Amino acid sequence: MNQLQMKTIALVENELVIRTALVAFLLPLNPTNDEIMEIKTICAEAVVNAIVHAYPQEKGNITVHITTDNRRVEIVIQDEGIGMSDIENKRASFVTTKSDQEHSGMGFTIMETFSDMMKVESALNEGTTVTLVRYLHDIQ
Amino acid sequence: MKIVRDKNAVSYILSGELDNYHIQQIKELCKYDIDLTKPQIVRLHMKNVTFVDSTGLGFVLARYKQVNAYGGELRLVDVPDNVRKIFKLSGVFSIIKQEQLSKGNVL
Repeated sequence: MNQLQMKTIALVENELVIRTALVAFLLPLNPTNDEIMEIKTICAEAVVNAIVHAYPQEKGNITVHITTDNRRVEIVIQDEGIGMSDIENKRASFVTTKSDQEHSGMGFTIMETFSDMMKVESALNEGTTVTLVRYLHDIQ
Repeated sequence: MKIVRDKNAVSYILSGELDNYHIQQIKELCKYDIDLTKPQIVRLHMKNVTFVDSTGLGFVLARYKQVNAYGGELRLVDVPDNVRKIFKLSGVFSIIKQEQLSKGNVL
């Protein structure tokens, strides 16, 4: 079992920092290229969501907590922003509240597809916590 | 992003990670350039792209809409296997034509 926790301000340039650290952290587990690509994509989606949506005014913090246990990878992305009241609607494909900014509305769909489990907890003005679990291939 | 112009066609050579940060750097230039020149064929070269997230996807879909609106055609060129999944997931290939330049045949 191993853990990595990162706390940073919700700035767009910090997403690459988190993604890069995540990849470096997982490398000792010998993930396949596909696994690396998919895990960094789901993490990026959740972090970008927090960056783009959680703090419309003053930028607050994002915390990313990664736990590996055998072949199980859990990533928890947490913000203290404005939260969401209608999670189900926002999880649907091609739904975006920022279509003028050319967002695709595919973030949650990508997270659901490339993870083995996704949990979204949120309430208005109480922040959002996204938990993503992904199992790596078994090592013989 | 490099731009290569041909008669009635333009190629945008993309590279690296098409994430939120990178897309913000190239989006306006690309959009403006297309609006200004309205080429018949717009090619997005993906060969050297190593990562695409939903922002990158949004960028491609927005260019498709933009080019389609004046009757032009958008094509994705040399999409690498590791980013293909994310395009497949969104159904992009059912509306946007692909070209495989490095192997010389159209998919």
